[in-house]
Amino acid sequence: MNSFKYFLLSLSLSLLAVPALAQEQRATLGGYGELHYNDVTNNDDGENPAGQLDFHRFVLFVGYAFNDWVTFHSEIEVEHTLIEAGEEDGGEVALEQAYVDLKYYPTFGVRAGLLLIPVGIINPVHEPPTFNGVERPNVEKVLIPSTWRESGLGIYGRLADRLNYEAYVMAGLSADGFSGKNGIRGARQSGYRSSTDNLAFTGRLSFQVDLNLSIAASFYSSSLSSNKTVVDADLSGVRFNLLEANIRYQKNGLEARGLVVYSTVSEVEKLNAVFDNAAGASQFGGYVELGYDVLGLINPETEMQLTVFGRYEAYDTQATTTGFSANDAYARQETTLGLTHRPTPQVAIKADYQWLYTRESHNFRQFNLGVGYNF
Amino acid sequence: MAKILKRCYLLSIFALWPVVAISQVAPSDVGISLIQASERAVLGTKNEVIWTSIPLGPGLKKSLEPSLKRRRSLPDSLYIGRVNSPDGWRYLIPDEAPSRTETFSFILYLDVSGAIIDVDVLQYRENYGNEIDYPIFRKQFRGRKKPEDILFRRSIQNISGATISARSITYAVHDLLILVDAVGLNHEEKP
Repeated sequence: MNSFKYFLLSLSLSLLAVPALAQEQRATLGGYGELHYNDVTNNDDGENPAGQLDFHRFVLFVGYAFNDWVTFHSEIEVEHTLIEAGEEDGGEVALEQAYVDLKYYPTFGVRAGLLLIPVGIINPVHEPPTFNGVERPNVEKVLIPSTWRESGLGIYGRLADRLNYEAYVMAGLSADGFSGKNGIRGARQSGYRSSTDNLAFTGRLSFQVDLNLSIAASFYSSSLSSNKTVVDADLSGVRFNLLEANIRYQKNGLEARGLVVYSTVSEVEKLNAVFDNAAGASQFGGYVELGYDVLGLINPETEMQLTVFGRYEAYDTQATTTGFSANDAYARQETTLGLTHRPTPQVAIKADYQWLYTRESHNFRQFNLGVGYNF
Repeated sequence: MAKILKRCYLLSIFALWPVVAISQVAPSDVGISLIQASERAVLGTKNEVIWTSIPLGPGLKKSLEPSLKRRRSLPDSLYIGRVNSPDGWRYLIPDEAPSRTETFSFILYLDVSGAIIDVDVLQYRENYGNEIDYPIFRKQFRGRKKPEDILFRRSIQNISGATISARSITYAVHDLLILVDAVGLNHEEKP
């Protein structure tokens, strides 16, 4: 019994010492996570599965400052709690970021490693308390396939007061993963033995207009002219180009954000001739979201928030096609109405209802509940 | 077995002792060269900063701790720097505060009346949230003297995209003003 007591005491004290020692060594630990409850209330297909509780993401950040200007950042994620042998649709363990920053000057730094593609609002910053809605906006799941990351290197810094830039060269997309339904989502290599046959270039400019308003624009361009699985395919001239812009505004309890994204695939008929995936010649999407913190109306002194929000999304992964007719099921619109309660800025309890419909009049409705945190 | 584990327990206590003593962020921990660069940028001077370490007694700490917003407990001492500038004496207080997952350092600049001149972020390691160093955010602090004037999302507006760091530095400044309010600015320098 005594042995057990001393073991527990030693363990407790050792664990207490970890963060303090980490601080001394300039190591940092953070993380975020989100538990979701999803319940399909209507599906025109007739498939109406029971509600599901899913601890969708559990993420830990580990960082280290080697000195004042050389730092390391990483993010490791467990999705859907576990991975089971033989289960194809199980969870995953993934490295989502791992890179070294060399900040030579505030105006110029070099970054290398597994990097987030600097496109959109959610992909660079995706901690659950930072966005409304249990699920991430689908425009930023399908057209901007967050969490979108790849190995590469590049530069970053501040161009002028309130104007920041990032520019990277990285491994490109995998041509065989491009599809008519999900766009480039399946074409990500995610740093897993990424082929460098197709190189990608990406960059972002962000500007803080004033305290309340920020705007950003980004691009991503990847060659698709080579493929590791079909080596003799004629894919010369096939290239994916994406442009995106977003805006965020917040003042006195009001918060608003909007995003548009447009992408094209040049010589897409060559891609479809080889892989027969009905890839669209262009993709287009966007969303607007408005929210208001009603708790601030009742008690101006409180730091807690209760945000009522609405979001409208429209996106089409076959906005234009070459050589075949677009599938109406891929022209999607979604409306989400919900509540986000933040008892403190780093914890969010969420509830929302989503109406999803397609151009072919397929209707899908879903109720979501969630809790998320970051530290 | 019990003896070995008992030794481990005792060793754990010894390993922890430096952690238990909480200290204010010393100027040398923040980085003297960074402070000098900040002094040039904020005050336009290169004069030597004279540092004083003011001990905070247990009674004082206990009385102030319920008013804190960022810290859970107070340090055992407070470092205040004093520098001559064309506009008179200026006071510098270095501190650190958490961003999303890391820690950033900053200097609070005060004039002789205790009014804030500026809040300068010295080292911000994280990729997101560095908007707190933009002049449009910093100028909100200028002229404020009292801790109760430093209220996040009221007197100090958030800056979009940097909520966690904006809240963190706002409350860190609030806590420093509580200390200044209690111990004052004018102290004899100690070698």
